[in-house]
Amino acid sequence: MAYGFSLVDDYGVEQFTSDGVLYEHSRGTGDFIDMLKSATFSGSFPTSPAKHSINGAVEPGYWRFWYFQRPYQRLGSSNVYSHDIVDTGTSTTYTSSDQGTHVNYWGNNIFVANSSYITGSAKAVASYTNESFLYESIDGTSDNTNYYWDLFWKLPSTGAHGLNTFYQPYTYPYSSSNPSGTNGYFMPRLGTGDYHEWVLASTKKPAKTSAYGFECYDASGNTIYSSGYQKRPIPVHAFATFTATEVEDCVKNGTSYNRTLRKSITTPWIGGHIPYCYYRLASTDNLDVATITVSGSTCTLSRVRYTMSNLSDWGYTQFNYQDLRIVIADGI
Amino acid sequence: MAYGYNVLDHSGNLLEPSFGTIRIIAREFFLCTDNTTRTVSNFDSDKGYYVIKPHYTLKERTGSTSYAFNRNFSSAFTVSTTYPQMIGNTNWLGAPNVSWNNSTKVLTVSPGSITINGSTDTPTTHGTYGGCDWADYEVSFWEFK
Repeated sequence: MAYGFSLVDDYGVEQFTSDGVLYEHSRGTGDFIDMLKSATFSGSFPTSPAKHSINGAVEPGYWRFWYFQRPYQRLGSSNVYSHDIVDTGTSTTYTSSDQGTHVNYWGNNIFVANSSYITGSAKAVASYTNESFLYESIDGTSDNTNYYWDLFWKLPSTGAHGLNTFYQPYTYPYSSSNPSGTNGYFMPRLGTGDYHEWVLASTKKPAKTSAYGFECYDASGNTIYSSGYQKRPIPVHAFATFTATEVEDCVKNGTSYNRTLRKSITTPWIGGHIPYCYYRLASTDNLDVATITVSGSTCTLSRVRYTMSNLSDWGYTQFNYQDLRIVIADGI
Repeated sequence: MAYGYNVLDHSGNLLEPSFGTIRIIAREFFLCTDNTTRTVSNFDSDKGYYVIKPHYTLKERTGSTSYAFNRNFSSAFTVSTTYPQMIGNTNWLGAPNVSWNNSTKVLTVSPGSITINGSTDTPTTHGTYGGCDWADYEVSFWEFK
């Protein structure tokens, strides 16, 4: 450093530079989607989740934040049935007359609908020719090329199977009054309650108060830190990586893997992208799902086995193993 | 507090804890079909981490058996009501292969692949039966600097 001063903590982290720091932008509670239990697409497709108009992050469209706890769905030939699913160890069972042909795993399938719910038009999005390259698919804002956006969810002690964001360019599916927008979803372990908090974070600097505090400037006079930011930084304190090979061993054989975190976490929140990984052997009723938990200074990858009736008549062994890269914040 | 400092706002709320938070120091964008390398000279994986974020977008199924999905949202179009599914039928969300060499500061990426019902799906074969959903993506580099 050629000038000024530096404050460094015991991790060697320089403090008074906020460039690249994630700040809280918005927060709320996810909407619970229970469609896989009612599973009557033709008659009761939910009008939720609610849309959220978030200033500065809604162009184009709206955000929605939702979670679900039915990580498996089986559609019948008429696309109207599904099977409920139960955590191993519970006495609940579910029997369906469904003898259909399609199997869908939520967390991989985002949305399936019939023609009653898709009658709108897709929204024109800039001039991109490949939808996958849309920056808007993350945050719904053209600012995404300048600022990083991420969505964090409060992690239940029982763990979670995945989280993700995606862009929905259609006028539907949820209702004609809900336009296109960005969705963030979260998959907690089944039975972890109906209250799941989210925080939308961005490297875009919050608004400042100006009556007190102090600021730090770079050599060009740009503010690089202000004590007057009206939102606090997202306290990302740890990461954990699990390889696809470890995920496979976990969900197939039940092996657990631990990672020691950089810092003990009191109230874990997780962000980034966590793909839904699972294993289902043909002709069984078991669905084994990778689960992430955080306790203290340990992040654990373990297996949760769900069982359901009539799953065994689906003859394919199906699985998905991917690297897991967990971003962990504390007490957002 | 045994060490460090606290910065408080006018209400006495803690603004930034003394143990610090992490900074995103670089971002790189890739197509899902990219097979390439990028040099990120200022990133040290001993001090941080990199995060992969796919840019998924819903797409429309355009045929009853082809499992082809309309991938072009460059202009408005009317969603088919004949084949209205969007990302359906055993689709997966695929991830790329990404690795980092901290000595050379080079990030290497290549298209991912997933085997579904005995058939290997990649971004270039997208649209076959049981096809995976691939997305372009960004890699962000986070560092405790």
